[in-house]
Amino acid sequence: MKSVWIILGVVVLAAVVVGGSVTSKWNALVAMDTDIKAKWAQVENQLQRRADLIPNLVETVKGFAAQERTILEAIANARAKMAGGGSVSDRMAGSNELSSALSRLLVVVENYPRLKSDATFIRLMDELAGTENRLSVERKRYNDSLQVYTVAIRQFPGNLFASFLGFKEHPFFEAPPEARQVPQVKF
Amino acid sequence: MDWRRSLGLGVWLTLVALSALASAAALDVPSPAGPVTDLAGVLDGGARQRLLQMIEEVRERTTAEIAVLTVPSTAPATIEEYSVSVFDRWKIGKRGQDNGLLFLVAVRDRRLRITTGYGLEALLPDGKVGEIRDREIVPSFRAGQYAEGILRGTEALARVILAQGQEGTQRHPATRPARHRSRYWSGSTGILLGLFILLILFSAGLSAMDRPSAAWTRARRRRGGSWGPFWFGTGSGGWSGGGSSGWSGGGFSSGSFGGFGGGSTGGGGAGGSW
Repeated sequence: MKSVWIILGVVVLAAVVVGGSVTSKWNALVAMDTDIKAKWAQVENQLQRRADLIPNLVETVKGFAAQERTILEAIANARAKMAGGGSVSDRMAGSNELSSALSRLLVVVENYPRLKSDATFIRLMDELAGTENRLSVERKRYNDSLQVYTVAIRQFPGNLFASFLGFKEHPFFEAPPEARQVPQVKF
Repeated sequence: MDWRRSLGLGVWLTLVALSALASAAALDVPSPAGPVTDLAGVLDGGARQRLLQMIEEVRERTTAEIAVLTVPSTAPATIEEYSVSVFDRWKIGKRGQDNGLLFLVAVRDRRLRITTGYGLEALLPDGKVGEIRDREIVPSFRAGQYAEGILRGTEALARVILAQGQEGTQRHPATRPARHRSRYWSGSTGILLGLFILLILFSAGLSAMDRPSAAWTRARRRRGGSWGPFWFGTGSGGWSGGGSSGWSGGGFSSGSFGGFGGGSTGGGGAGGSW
């Protein structure tokens, strides 16, 4: 009779321990996952902000350097592609394409002194540089959070819970090489 | 027990490696000596006094906080990265309002950067900050008049903030990340509640066994979250690390400076070289 109680006690104890640890792992993963989504939303904010700046920028550049048709078209196309939405990975790729088109623009701008000294253009470049910097800040915060989460779902025993509970890996937002350097405003 | 120990060691080593990686990436940031920290030594006593007066007036009338920092160089980091690291560490601006501003000058690099907190972005858009830079700061800097450029720049920035007053420094609703609150577990019956309490006790015991690693705790702290009771897990989603708690271990050279208010930045603002 006594042994039955002991076995029952052990079973209940085991159930409680397993249930408790699954729940706490679940809650921790939900917290991390939510945190990552919030940080990605911040990245999206900055992508949107940059996209909003581009029509003005393109118009201003056209006024001084209309012959740079290919670059202006590349920028417009990259922006349109970004506006199309898609998965997180698509957005990252689109963003990097836009960054590279913009950095090409910055190079050719050097050939147009009048454009470079135009007040509207200087303000736009300040806004663009500020936005690129915001984007890199939010990208870093997103990647930092994602690193903690990725470790949690890949290491044992978290990987068992994660696959069982349906937590997936998310893509890191790698910056394109040309975006490592924030566009500089030179005087 | 053997497999557990080697497993624990493996996890621990991974975490130590990761935290070493992260701390290698983190920048070495100076401590603030007050609202004005002149490490490059370009400000004389009079300029410093006038800056402090201006900054104090802005803080009193609008609660916005301005910090001025001069350094010889930000190498190996770019001035943008350096600014955000300083801002994150110092937490300039009122907590929740994020109305802080950092005016950083790297004298030897010939670069400057004005970084705005989330709450000042609407008041001081990047273009406007750039205008102040071009009109007030750069001409003086080019002439080698650093103190004058910093004074004129700070004055122009202060005037914009003061003109908008208290309501102008409210945070822009769209730009600041939302705080995520955990849902409360509501038990309906006494039995469930009792079981719940039992589980908390068990998982508290488990968590005490589970988390001896300092590296893991550090990794969590870096996320900025207070993890609260282990059971709830979610804590407050990672934004609770601000405020005066950031300064408890500060170690200032001047005892009178109590630190900044706990604000944060998204990296807005303007800068450039001269």
